[in-house]
Amino acid sequence: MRKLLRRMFGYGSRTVPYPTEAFTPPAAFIGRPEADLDGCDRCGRCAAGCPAGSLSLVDEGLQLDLGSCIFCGECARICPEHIAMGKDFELAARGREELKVVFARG
Amino acid sequence: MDEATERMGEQLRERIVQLFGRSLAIREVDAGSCNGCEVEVNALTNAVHDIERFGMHIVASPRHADMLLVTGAVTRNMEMPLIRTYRAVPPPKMVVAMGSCAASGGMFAPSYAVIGPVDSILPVDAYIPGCPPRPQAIIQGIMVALDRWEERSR
Repeated sequence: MRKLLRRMFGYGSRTVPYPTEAFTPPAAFIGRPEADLDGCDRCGRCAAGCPAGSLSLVDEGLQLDLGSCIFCGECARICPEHIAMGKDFELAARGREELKVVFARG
Repeated sequence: MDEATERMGEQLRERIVQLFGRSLAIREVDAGSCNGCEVEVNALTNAVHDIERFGMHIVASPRHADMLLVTGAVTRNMEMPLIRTYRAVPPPKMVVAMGSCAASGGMFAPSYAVIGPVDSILPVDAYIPGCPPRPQAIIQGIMVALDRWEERSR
């Protein structure tokens, strides 16, 4: 009985102290896509292959709509030279337009 | 809107945020989701993520709630229940659209059964991208809706 109680109370706090401390997601976590468009020829394969239709080629570069992105990683698979899946998950916004991220063309 | 009314609106919102920042009752509404987001909302109340330490708790009825956390692309069948749920929340109230389906219709927007994102039916205060969003991302999204995200690093 005493051993059980000692084990129960010996664990301490299991709470992750977010957001008072920054949180690093585990290695397998797929966050926001990050794109470096240096040398991108605007072939459009990434936008064509996105299952949710979140990527589109705009004048300024490549627009990613975080509101419809499903974080599947297909864009990174299609174009590993320019797109990689990052670890960013703090993406919430007050307005719908703030969710549209533009990667400037290189 | 003239300046005096705008200022009053700002003060009202600040007062609401002050109250909600101490105790927030959240009602989760599934407007046609795949339940992935529900699983993450479930995880919010466990010992690891623990939103109770912020004074937030999940309540059983919209009549007890301050905030609606809506998941899923709004389907035709859920349109009226969602509107009735929103009307049942006593003011002041907030709506947070969680997940890519609630924010934009997601992958299911072209479906015959889906009306669209939550903001085609209700006024939305914050959007949380993700499929599904991490529990930490949900915490961030609720704090963005409460205007508390900028002051967190103190």
